[in-house]
Amino acid sequence: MRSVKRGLLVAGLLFAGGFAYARFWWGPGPEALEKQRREVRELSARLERRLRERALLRDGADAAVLVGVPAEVADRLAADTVAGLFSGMRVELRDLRFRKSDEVQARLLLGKRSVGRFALSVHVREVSARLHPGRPRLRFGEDRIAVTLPVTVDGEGAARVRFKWDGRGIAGAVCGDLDVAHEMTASVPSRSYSLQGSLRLAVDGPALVATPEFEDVELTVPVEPTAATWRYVEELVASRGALCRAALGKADVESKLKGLLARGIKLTLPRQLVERPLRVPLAVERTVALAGRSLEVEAQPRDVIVTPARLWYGVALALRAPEPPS
Amino acid sequence: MRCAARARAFAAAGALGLAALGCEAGGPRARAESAALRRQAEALHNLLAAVDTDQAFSSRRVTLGIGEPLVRDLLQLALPVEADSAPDLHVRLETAEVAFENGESRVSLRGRVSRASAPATFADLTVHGGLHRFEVGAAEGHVTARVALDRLEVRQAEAEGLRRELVEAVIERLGQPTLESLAAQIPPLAIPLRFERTVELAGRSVGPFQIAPASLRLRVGVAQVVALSGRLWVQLEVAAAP
Repeated sequence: MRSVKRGLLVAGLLFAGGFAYARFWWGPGPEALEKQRREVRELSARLERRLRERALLRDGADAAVLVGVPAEVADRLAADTVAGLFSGMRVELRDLRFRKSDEVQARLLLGKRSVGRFALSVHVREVSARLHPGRPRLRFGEDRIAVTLPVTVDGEGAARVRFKWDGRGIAGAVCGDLDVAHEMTASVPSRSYSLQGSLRLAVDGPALVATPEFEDVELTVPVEPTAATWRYVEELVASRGALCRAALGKADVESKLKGLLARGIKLTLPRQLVERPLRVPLAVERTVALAGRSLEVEAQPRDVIVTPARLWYGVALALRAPEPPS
Repeated sequence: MRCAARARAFAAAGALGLAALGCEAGGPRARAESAALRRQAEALHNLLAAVDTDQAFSSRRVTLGIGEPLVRDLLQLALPVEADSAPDLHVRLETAEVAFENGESRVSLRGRVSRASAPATFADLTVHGGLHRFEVGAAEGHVTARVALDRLEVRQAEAEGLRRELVEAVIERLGQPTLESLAAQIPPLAIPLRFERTVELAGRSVGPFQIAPASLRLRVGVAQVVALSGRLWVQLEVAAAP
């Protein structure tokens, strides 16, 4: 009886030991392995499906390298690029002349008569304006990237104002002729413009190149005299006699000068200034060296695809032994 | 007497049960595969969760998809690699295979292990590993990765007919130091893509307009690498440097 018990115990121990060995040490059986493999396949397929649904993955059978740039990254990099590379835009204008002359009439005792003629000329010696690009807005889609770039223009300048007054009749007698000149400083009041265009994308050899294309933008650079200039005009008028002041008041030098300069300087922002090809800073190397051996890399660009979420481009690569020197 | 026979019968039944269980299970290879599959399943679960929270394949990162053939060809360039393992074993790895599936980058290097004293005695060998330590090189701007080797397999069928002790010696003696020595001989794998860390724009004058020369410095770093659908998907953080 004791032998039977001992036998049972040994059998039980052997079985339990075997089970533990098989379960925890010896490893799973074929069915358990197949179940694990199936789970991994299913999870992998689910992940791939989810990534494709969101266009986060792309096929490119013959492209050794695919590059995906999300719209959010492109937007951020475009803003950094504009801020970093296009912040030093200026326009320098010299020797511009504005002129306005007119007859000044006033109602006198004998009816409306000419009291004089004025000639106002402004010689803008220089205007220096800065173009401040704002944050560009990129819109991905339809195989292109649309760009809106806000630009603000401001600056300062220097000019010489000349005012000639040729008094007529009574005004001429009491006022005489005037020919005064004044050096003035001026500011270019801030104005904003919106440049509309797109980024043309092309794979150029080993790199993707983005070239901005914009429509022509007409800019007006107004010039505004400083307070010192207005004080000068006021003092000029105030220093004359009453009749003369009345005649000059009719001429309204201040508003004429304002009107003349407010017309501003018309300019067209040249496309060549901003239409500069920008190489995306990721390029294929022409050679690759490893373990003392060197191979040439031949790069063939593949399609550039723009989806609302991402820009994709691919490059097919072939590694070749270099041609022996002839 | 009858009791003793019964006891023997029970013991035999226990042993049979053990043998049956042992036969059903798969051995060290199955154990290794099972562990790898568990790792992959866990990685895939994590990736699925990370995609949903924009942590993987994020809209804030540039994605590089590098195909298996390119990596294989680059790895092949670094071969053969050889190592001597005491006593009397010589390993030479000659061909490379890579597989980027299920969240894992797998590298298999095939070659031979032979007696250093008797090169005619050899067995075919496959060393398994993966790619790791992805980075964008500070100087050259290349995406690089290192090969790590962690497991070897003597292909028994081709070793049959050879002296059994060679196969046993290989399994016994070619340990981690040999694998590390072989991996160390493979230089960092440089994908032939270069990140320019500085973008420059030349100055230009058009009529009264001028633009000053300027440059923009960029920071590039590897955020995550996922092996899927036959490609290594390298997620890069790209930003303007302060």
